[in-house]
This record gives sequence, structure tokens and C-alpha cells, in this order.
Amino acid sequence: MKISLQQITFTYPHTLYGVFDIDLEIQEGELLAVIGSSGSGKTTILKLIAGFEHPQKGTLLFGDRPVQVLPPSKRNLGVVFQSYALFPLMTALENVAYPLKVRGVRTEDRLARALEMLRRVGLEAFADRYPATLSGGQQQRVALARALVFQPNALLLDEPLSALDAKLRIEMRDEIRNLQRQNGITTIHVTHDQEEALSIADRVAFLKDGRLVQVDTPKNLYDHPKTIEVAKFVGRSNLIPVQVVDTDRIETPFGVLSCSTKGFSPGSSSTALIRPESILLYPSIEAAQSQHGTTVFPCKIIRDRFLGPVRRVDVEVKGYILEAETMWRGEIGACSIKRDSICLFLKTE
Amino acid sequence: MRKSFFSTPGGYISLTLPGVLLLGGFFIFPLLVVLVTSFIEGGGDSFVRILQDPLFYRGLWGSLVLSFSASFVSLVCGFLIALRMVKLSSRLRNILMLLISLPLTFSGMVVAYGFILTFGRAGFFTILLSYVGVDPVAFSRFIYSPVGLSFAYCYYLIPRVVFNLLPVLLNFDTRKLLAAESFGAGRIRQMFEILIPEILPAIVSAFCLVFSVAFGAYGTALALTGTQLNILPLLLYSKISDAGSDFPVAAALSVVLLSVGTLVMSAGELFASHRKEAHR
Repeated sequence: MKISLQQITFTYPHTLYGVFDIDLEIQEGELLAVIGSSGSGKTTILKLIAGFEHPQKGTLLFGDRPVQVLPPSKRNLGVVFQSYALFPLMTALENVAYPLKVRGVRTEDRLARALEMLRRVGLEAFADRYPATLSGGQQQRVALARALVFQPNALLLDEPLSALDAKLRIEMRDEIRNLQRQNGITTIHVTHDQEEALSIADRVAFLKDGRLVQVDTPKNLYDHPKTIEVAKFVGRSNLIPVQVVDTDRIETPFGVLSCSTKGFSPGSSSTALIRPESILLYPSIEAAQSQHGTTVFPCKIIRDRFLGPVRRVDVEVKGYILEAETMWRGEIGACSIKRDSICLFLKTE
Repeated sequence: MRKSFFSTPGGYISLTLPGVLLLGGFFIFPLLVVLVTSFIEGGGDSFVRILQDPLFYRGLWGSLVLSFSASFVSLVCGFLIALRMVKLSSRLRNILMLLISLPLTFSGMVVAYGFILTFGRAGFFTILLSYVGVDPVAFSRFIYSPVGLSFAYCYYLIPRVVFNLLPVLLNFDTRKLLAAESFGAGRIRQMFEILIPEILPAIVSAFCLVFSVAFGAYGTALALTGTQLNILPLLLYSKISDAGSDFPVAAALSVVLLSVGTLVMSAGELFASHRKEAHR
């Protein structure tokens, strides 16, 4: 089912917080991740779609049907909360069967369907266990099974992985993606973890102060962020004040870089985004020049962090500190920056 | 490092002794006296005597009915009040809690006279009702009846229920109700299938507490109905009044009152702990 938000505005009573003029369309079967910092309004969007809050302005459509006045119980949505919100006095099987019980499905049928759903999330053997006896990951699977068992119109996930440890979180996000694909269900996944959003979403919506800043594919959001806020939030970034020299060059505090300056007039000020992995590191100037031509800079390591697959280093280039990432484990004495990886923003941002 | 005086055995004793003496002198000793008096004094047959007295059975039955009805009504009212208070701002909630706690500071006698002044034959509310054709005599008879007494008991039982249930409701994760709602459950269903089952131990515990309080209360009953009503506390009162005291029987009745109260409270606690274990 397609979900459309048209000019949706909502503010919490007696506050200035909320979401403003949200225009968003989630296609049938799409997984849209909503990201943003705390208080940006991402959970509010989920609450508005679920019907827990009602917009003061705008239209919410499920398919072509306006639903903004429908109560949550009539919206047929599967919701998974950060705390899972499992019913502690019901077994895993009873929890999963609950939405079917509410719908008046006969006991044998609903238990059979709930058991089948538990089998699909790999928890058939835990059907008789109470939530308190299940691990975080298992509770998460029960919550997912419960949200999917009644074939809802869409799945709403409110930071469902934030209570899990890092390893399990990665496993579970793949599992969510698989289940979503298998069921072909429209899904809105709210998270503050940009890596989680980029890894599983078809598209990502970035919110700031209750306003939608950019809705794009994970690749575009990362490579071509619309604003500095998006660049800062999604991935790590070096944001450098620069001056446009001509159509092909910019002046940075540590030297001139080759880069497309389309849309910027010569002499204008700008901010350049350079991702850490776009900075290429070499043992020496000679090694850098042999591979990268002339635009290379001598550099010195200020801080070196070993992260396993990569090293994250702060390098000083002519007195300016850049953050870089490399798989290279040896000496570092020079760097260069890929031309097509530099992204320019208007200085006013 | 030099140990402070309060971490030495002498220090422990000096700190705990006043509490132990107070507990022993004003709680354990009087209880022992009551037990000894009920079992030994007056020929040691006080329990046999009360068991042979039809007034005891009528009093026990009256006490059970009165306590049960007052506790049940208080539980329902207190639960609904607490449920509403959860949704209020903490500032307004604190003001309301202060107001709700006021009845607990009054003695039973004061509550009874308050009810007489309000609902008695010449009471403010009774006179108001007489303007719309309600007979003051018939209406005021209500306040002096067992039903009226239950109504008066509710006045100081409801705050106890609210104070027991409010923290539990404030700590309840309302996302469970939102989840149930998103799965299609209406308000009533959410309440009876999700909320009440989960906070049932607290509800049972609150009921047991107010039942025990109502079972042993006598001030309000005495002021409203004299000794006409057949309930155990008033039977006990009649045994220690100036005309014809019977201390062994009074002590035996005290033991019965204490036992019923303790039994009910223990049953509540047992239920709560059993529920907790059953879902682990």
C-alpha cells in the first residue's frame, strides 16, 4: 500500500515542537528509513501515520483514501516499538496471535498462523516462553512476527534495533530487510543510526527541526547531500571553507584542489565536503605523485585509530587537520584528494 | 583507617536499640498481652464463648459484607481516579494528590460528623435534595444504614487505593496499549486484556489493604450507627465499654480481627509473588 503525506503539520500542545509541511510519498513495497537527530520529528511522523497523533493540517493518504481521522485500530498497521511492547503475561505464541484474536480469528486458526509466523522468524521452539525469558533479539523477532502476522497494510518500525548490541543489530537489520522483502510490505523505519538506515533502506528521509530536508536513495544522500546538516549527519565528513578559483579549481586552507565548481562563480566562498575515505594516503610524496599526479600534499599523522578493517587517522596538511580512512597499515607521509568526491555547498548554509 | 563509632558493634546497638525498644514496647508487647489474655485469662474459654455467640457470626458476616462492598467501590473509584491522574501534568497531579490525601489525616469520628452534617436529616445536601422533592427523613436514613456506612468508608479508602495504584500506572509502559490499539483493540479491550491483567497484583494488593483497614475500622461506624450495626469492631467495643467489660472475649475478638486482616494481606502478597514467578 502506498502512503502519502501531503503538507502535514503537527505541533505538540503548548510547545513549538512537531513536524511542519511534510510532503512524503512511500511507494508500495518500499522501505523508507527516516533519520535525524533527537527531537527532529522522526517518531512524530510515525505516530501520525499510526494514528497515535492527528495532524492539525494536511492530508494523509493510504492508497487514495484519506485516513487522518481514522483511529489507530482501524488503520491495519503493524507497529514495532523500540521497547518491543510485548505483553508480558502472554507467551510468545499468544503475543503473535493477539492481533488475530482481536480480529476474531478462531483459536485453532490463529494459533496455527502465529506458530507459522514464529517459524519464519526462527522462534518456533520458543512459542511457549514468556517475553521475560527471551533475549533482546528474540523479543525483537516476536515483536516483528506479531506486527506481520495479520498482513498489515504497512509496517512501522520505531527504532526497533537501538536496544540491541552492535553485532545483533547488524544481524537483525538484515533479517528485517529479508522479512520486508518476503512480505513485500511497505515499511517505514525510524532510526537515529544513519548506518542502519543506509544499509537497509530503498530511500532515506532526513529530518531537521521537524522539516524534511532531503529524501533520496542511500547512495545519493551520502554522495550528494543537499545541505551541510545532511552531510554532517550521514557518515563522517571534513567540511572545509573554500574559495572558488575558476570552473575547475578551489582554494582550500591547505592548497588548491581540482574540482567541478559548476553553479559557483569564481571568487565566491563555499564549504567543501570531503569524505574521509576520499582522502588517499601514501607513505611518501613520491609514492603519491607516481599514482596521483601533481595534486598531492605532504602530511603528518596527528591521531591514529585502529578500527580493524580500516585505520581512521587525523592528518595535518599544511596546518589544517583532515580526517581520513585507509586500509593501508604502513607509514603515512602524503595524501591526495579524489576530484569527483568533493561536494560544494553555498557558504550561507 | 580509624573505624567510626557507628561501625562498631556498640555503635550498631546504640543505633538500633531505640527502634527495637519502641517496636517491642508499643507493638510486640501489646500483641502478646492480647494473645495471652485471649487464650489464658477468664478461664481460657474466651474463643469457645465467642464461637457459641450468634452475635459473633452476625458481626463477622456484617464486617465481611461491609468491608468487601466498601473496598470494591473504593477500588473501582480509586482505579478510575488514578487512571485519569496519569494523564495530567505532574504539577496538577501533585496538587490533586495533596487534596486526595486530606481524608487520610482525619479521624473516623471527624469523617462521620462530616457525613452527618452533609447527608444527615438536616444536612446541607439533604436539604438541597428536599427542594427537588426528596424526603429528608428517607434520604438521611441511608447514611445511617450499612450501605451509607460503606459510602462513608470509601471517603478514606479511595485515597489509599489511589496512592497504591498511581505509581504502578505511572510506570506502566503505555506503548503496550498503543501496540494493542494498532493491532485493532478498542479501549475496553486494551484495558481488560492488557492493562488490568498486568497491574492485577497491585490491584489485589490495594484491595487487600483497604479491606483490612475497613475490617478493623470502628470510629466512623460508631459515630454513624452507634452499636446498632452488627460488625466485629463494634462488638469488640461493646465488650470493653464501661457497662460490663469482658476483656478475655475482647482480646479474642481482637485476635480474630488481626488474623483476618493479616490473612487477607498475606493472600494479596502471595498472589503478587506467585504471578511474578509464573511468567518467568
